[in-house]
Amino acid sequence: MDNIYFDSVELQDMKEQISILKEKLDKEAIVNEALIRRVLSDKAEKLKIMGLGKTVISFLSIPMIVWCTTFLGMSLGFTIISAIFLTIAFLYMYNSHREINNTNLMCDDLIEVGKRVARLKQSYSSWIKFSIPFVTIWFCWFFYELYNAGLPLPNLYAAVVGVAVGGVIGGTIGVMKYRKIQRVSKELLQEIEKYHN
Amino acid sequence: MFEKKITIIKNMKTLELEFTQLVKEYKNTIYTVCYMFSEDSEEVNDLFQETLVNMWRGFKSFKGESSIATWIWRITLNTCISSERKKKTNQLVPLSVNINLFDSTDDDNRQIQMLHERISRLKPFDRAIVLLWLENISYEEIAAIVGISVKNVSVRLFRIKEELKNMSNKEK
Repeated sequence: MDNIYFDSVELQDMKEQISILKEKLDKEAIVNEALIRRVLSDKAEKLKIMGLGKTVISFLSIPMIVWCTTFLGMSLGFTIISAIFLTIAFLYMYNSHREINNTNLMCDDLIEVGKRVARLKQSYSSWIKFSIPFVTIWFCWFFYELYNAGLPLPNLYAAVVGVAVGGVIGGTIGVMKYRKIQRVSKELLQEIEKYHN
Repeated sequence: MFEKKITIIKNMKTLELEFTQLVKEYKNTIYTVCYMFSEDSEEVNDLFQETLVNMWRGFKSFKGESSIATWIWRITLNTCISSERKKKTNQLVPLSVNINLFDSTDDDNRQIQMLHERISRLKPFDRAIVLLWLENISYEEIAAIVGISVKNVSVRLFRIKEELKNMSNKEK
């Protein structure tokens, strides 16, 4: 190996330091039976089951919203648009997470995994970019439908205030998360780009 | 049907034993990488366990396309680079480690911390390359683990060396 061209004082120091670290770790057991049992206890399978549970619940929310809007006497147009939005959301998230749930994802080389993870993050942030404005409009329409459905005014005000506060908090968190995801995935892709230059 | 079940159970037992053996053999390597990507002991613990879980998930379908060492390096580095640092302390099993590498009580720990500090300042992929180089892994294998050409490995190492030199000069 052509180490001679790359050895420097700093790298030599680091080689000595890593030897010290190895000597220290050789004296440590690190791994124990409890840890191995935890790892082997099909944590991955449990995660898959949880993931499946979330998928089923998300899917069930579609008939739920149809039932709720019909029960509250809302318009057919609103019901259809809500159902379509939830269906698209469900399919988009399912498709995005299918790759990240691949058990062999981490076994690929670093650049390939980095690209896939960055793409997943970007697709997630793209979804937030679309869904936040849509949900804002949906809420306005929702209040309009509630008003037209003849809900008593005090109940209507309570619903508006409650949902508005929840919407503002949720929207703010969504925007902050979107900006963070954008920044992280951009940095990751920039770093990957350097490796191809 | 019953015999098939027995075969499956036996195969699973063999798999578990092989996996346990593998983890014990490479524990130092995995721990070192997790340490270099962490800021405290809890994070090391978190990354270590996440790495083992990812290893177990992939172990059942590992067909020997690469050497086992390459496979372990990839999983460990990918886990550390991709981890979103969600603290799951209530689900963690404590590691059997009696030393605290983040504590600078003795000379050896101070040396290790200097190493940690230098490596932590590098970007994630550069950190991975330097760790692989420090383990005396060949350029070909580094290239296979990272997913770049052998020439690119040389170029990156040269740039990392320069970056470390600049860091040292700034400290002086």
